[in-house]
Amino acid sequence: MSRILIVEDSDSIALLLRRRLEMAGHSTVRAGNGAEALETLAGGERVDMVLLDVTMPRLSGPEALTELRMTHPRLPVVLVTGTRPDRELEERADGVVKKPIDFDELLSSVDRLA
Amino acid sequence: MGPKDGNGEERAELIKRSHDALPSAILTLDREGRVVLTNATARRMLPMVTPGIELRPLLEGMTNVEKVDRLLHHRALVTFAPEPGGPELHWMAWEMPGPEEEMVLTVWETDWNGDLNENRAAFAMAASHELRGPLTTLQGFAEILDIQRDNLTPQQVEAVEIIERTARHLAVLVDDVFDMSRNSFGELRLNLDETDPGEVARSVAATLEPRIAERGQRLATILGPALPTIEADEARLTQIVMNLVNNASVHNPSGTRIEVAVRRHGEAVEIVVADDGVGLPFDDLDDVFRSFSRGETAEEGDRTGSGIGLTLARLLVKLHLGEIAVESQPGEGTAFTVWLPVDRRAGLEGAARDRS
Repeated sequence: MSRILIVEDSDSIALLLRRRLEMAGHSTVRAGNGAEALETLAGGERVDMVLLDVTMPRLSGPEALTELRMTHPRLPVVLVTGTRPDRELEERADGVVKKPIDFDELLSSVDRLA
Repeated sequence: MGPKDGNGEERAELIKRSHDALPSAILTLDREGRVVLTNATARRMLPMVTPGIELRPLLEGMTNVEKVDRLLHHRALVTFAPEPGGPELHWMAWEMPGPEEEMVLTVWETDWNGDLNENRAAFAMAASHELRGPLTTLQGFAEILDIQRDNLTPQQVEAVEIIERTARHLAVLVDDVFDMSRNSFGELRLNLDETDPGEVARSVAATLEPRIAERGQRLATILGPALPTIEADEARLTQIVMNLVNNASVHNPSGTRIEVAVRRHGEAVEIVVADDGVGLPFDDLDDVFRSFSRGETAEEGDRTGSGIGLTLARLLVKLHLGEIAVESQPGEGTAFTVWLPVDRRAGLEGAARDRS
């Protein structure tokens, strides 16, 4: 069972992700944007994987991904996005899950990557 | 000595060179409306506009009086080609500060496809963010209930199934809108055919009448005499009128009267969708055509949802080489007017001249 960092500015979507991950036996920690995610990790929080929203205030998904790749190069990052990301962004992430979320797909990427 | 501390002559020369470097044409008018200053782009783009000439009559020779009024009096952005068959230019007038009532006009040329692509990208981005989020939540939590259906009563299971089904339907609609905005607009080909605009109005009325009646509103259709057929895409024209009527209905209370009038005006067909409702909550009425600007009084969870309809309507009107305008007074109502050229090749300019 894994510990997942949910980076999502919408409270209701963050809660949805948390419930489904917990139902599958995982534990979660949440950050409201990219900057908070980096702070959480810098504060010593150990996670197996990051689910990263793309459009967020303060630090967006793509910006946070760039930072994460430098500070935590081995940490798997899956983008959870309402828009189709451009290829460059897609190639930088370990996976992309489209909103509305197909949870079979999401949970299988968690099992594969985390 | 740098220009900053230079003498008046050097500064004037610097201002002139900056002026000439701009890609837009710049026309400065005195209080009598005579051109007193032009920049290099203006001299190239608008060779007929020479210093000393009175601008207004010149513009009236290029387009209709109404547009010239909108430009010079209402400070609206207008678009027209100064020469028949020449490039379309965008015109904007600005008052200059000071007591002399001078005015400065900027005129620029945009590549039509580039303009559309820009709209399309902004549209897709906004739609994506606004719609997919709530949809994700709705669908996701309904699924959670469905997983726990053993704990639910049969009626609750039924409710959950309906929510899930509706969410899936919405997801399809959202995808349609995306595909349209993302992939189609630049290359969208209208399926042009001889179309009866009166028939379009009648069919929209027939489709929407039951829903409008349910809201306690009335819908009237008024068709003028001798309506010509126009070269249009019937499905798209239906979509335009449907959007306008639907918009009038959902944003107004019970008791509102909505009227769809179709008539011929010279070489144009005019379709007016008017209501006697609450009016639009916008300071700048052109905002209604921008995606996701729904006005300050639009309620959370509003029945229409997206705010795409009017943007889409305007794009479709433009593709028909037509024009759309809106007038609205708080407490008195709103009227959208669409003009479509009867002869698409002659365009709306000829038709518009007849109108004024």
